[in-house]
Amino acid sequence: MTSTSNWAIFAKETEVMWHFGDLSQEFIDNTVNFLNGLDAMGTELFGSGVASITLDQKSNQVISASEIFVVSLGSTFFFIASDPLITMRLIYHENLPDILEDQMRSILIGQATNLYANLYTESSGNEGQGDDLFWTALYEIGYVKDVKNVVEKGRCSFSEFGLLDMMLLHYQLRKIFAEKYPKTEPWAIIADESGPIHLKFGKMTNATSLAGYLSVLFMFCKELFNSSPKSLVFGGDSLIPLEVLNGDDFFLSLTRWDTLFNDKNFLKNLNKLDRKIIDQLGFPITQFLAEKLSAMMQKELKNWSMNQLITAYKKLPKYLENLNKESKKR
Amino acid sequence: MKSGAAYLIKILVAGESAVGKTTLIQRYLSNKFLVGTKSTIGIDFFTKKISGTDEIIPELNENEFLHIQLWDASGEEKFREVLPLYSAGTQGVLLCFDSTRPETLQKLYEWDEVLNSLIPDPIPKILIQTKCDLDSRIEQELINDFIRERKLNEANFFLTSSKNGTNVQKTFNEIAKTIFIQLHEI
Repeated sequence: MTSTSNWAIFAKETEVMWHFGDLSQEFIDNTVNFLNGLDAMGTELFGSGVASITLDQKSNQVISASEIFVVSLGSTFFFIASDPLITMRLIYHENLPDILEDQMRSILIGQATNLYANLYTESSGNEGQGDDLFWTALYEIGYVKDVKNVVEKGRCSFSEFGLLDMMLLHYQLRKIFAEKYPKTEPWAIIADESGPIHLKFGKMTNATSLAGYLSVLFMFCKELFNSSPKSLVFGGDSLIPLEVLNGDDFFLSLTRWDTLFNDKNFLKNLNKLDRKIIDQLGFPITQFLAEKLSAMMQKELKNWSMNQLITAYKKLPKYLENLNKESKKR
Repeated sequence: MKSGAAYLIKILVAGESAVGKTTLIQRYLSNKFLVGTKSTIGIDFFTKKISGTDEIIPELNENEFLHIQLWDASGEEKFREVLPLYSAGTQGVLLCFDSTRPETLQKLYEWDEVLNSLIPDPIPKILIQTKCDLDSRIEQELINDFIRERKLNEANFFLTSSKNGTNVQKTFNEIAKTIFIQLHEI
């Protein structure tokens, strides 16, 4: 485990090129070894390694990091940072050797270029989609010049961006792509942290390997960060988001929650589970859905006018009461 | 061949820094000569869509399209290490050197060596001497040596100028045509 909350490691395969933060050699070695392992397993299951891990902050009050950000390019170069938004800014003030900074920058540029090229190639007939996603990310990082000079109509160039800009851009791209462009079919798996599978639903490559993979990931997160994974994004050229809900002994991992929780068969399978599993996962599922629904509501409400919101606020207690009654009837 | 089909080809543009790779691509895409282009970091990505009605590639039917991806690699040696990460799926290479800098032709031996190790299948390669509007400081014999030693097709050598547009369209059309014919044959 590490005692510092802001750290970063840059590695080429298993060779550590640079690190930031007060890290023990053991932590660095374990992290790099595990990154390589994660990459190999992710490549087998999803075609590419892990891109980012959000940790479950609730699982430990003195957690050292809430999010782990990973950029891997071609299973060769790995950049991993804790709490990326803060750590990246701290790195910016470090005196990185020029050659390293350029190399990291070129890797991040390469990854973003691959992502754009892949999206552009796949979205034939809707080529503007990739532009919109990248423009949103550029606005989010505070890019003030014309975004069309960076990305437009099947052309992209990130040469003008510094290391910090590229790290922040990647961070935003992950968030946006995972939310708006999930490259996966809906599926779910419930397994013991030690391996056995209790539910598998939907199309997934290899449920046994996946359960084993996630179990190892749990061990890694516990060992290194004293926490559990909450969500993961796999990929490089395209991104596959994956959510993890933790019970004491079981976990539920799923993709495309919006489709899954609308699927009668999935809900039926969920209700047929052993009482012990339902008891353990019931609360995390409730919390998860409450979080997702709140986010959806927030997004919608932000587009409302002040008067509309005041009216809604006045009516809210009654509305919630009715909704509550109605859902209890069901 | 299917009606209305769309094809995709990937071309890597390689060569030393400041030989004019990005300017060459820009001339091809927009027919403009851009002055003061910044050095490419990592890689830049461009696309061009060719329609059968453009009559550039005779084998492309009227209702078909060819999407050309141009991957403009950074010429700086420090970025060479990441080249393997972009080269997958490359179907054609443009090897560029600068008329005014003989060392850029010498460096192409290294480029070609690296690219051969990354792309083991034989793919079309075109040798491009850029900035031909300026006085050449490179002996023709050296260029012939390169073509012979690297086993390139003699017809696949072009003198280009992004400044006045000499041979720019022709070069890109030629490699697109060669790759397309290869695809067509498969």
